[in-house]
Amino acid sequence: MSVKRRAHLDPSVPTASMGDIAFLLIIFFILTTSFAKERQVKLKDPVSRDIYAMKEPPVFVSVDKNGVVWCQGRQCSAENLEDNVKSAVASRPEKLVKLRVDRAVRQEQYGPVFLALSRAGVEIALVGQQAREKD
Amino acid sequence: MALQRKAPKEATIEVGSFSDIAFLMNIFFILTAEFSRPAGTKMEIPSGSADPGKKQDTMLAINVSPEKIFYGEKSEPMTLEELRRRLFRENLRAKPPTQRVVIVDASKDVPYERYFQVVTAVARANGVIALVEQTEKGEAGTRTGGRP
Repeated sequence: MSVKRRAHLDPSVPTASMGDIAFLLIIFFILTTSFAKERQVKLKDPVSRDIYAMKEPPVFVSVDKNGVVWCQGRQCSAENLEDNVKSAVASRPEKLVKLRVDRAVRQEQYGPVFLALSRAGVEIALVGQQAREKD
Repeated sequence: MALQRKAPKEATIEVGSFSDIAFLMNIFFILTAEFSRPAGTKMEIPSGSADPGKKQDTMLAINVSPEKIFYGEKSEPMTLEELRRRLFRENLRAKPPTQRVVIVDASKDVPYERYFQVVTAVARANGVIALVEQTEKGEAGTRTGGRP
């Protein structure tokens, strides 16, 4: 009696779906990445040693070296900053606003910004650069 | 003479290297992604109305000028390091929020970096910042209150 031999199977890994998985990952990254809009605002952060790494607040306000106020990456005035911030934090549980101000800006320019944020009833996260050496 | 016809070729797109390209893109995204964790401090500014008469004797006051920092009623000029030590000695941590209020008043020409250093020093000492607001009458009011 002749014994039938099984046909040899090629030891191969099916890789046909690898491309799909990779593209799904890319789509995931593209959709979940939030590009930092504030990078367009050019300013030099102040330096202090009394600061620490903190969570990124969702709402941000910046004052550039010319004293121009930016709210969520859009230019606005100190007068309408209060309303802009109120509407930006309205739907968020955490009323925290990140504030970046150029180190050379004078008080007459950043003072009204602090007051507007205070009136908006938000907590301010002051952002700067950590001092490396004793200042 | 019989002409030989070319066998029709199947029109296919080579997709074998697509997954390689996709994975390379993934690696690029993963390596270049920057998870931002800003360095800063939370500043407690209670929202309240400006009230020139609300300033209490228990409040600490810091006046900031471009060159010097003046602390307390006697307005002693001091360096930032001395201010840190003084705030530490005040032991604000142990006090209730209403007694942790520190008025920070900066003159118009104070650059932000100087103000930032003073405010972050106060925040680190657990102080509640009170801003000074000029009222229409020209009086200096403070925005105070204390977060619970």
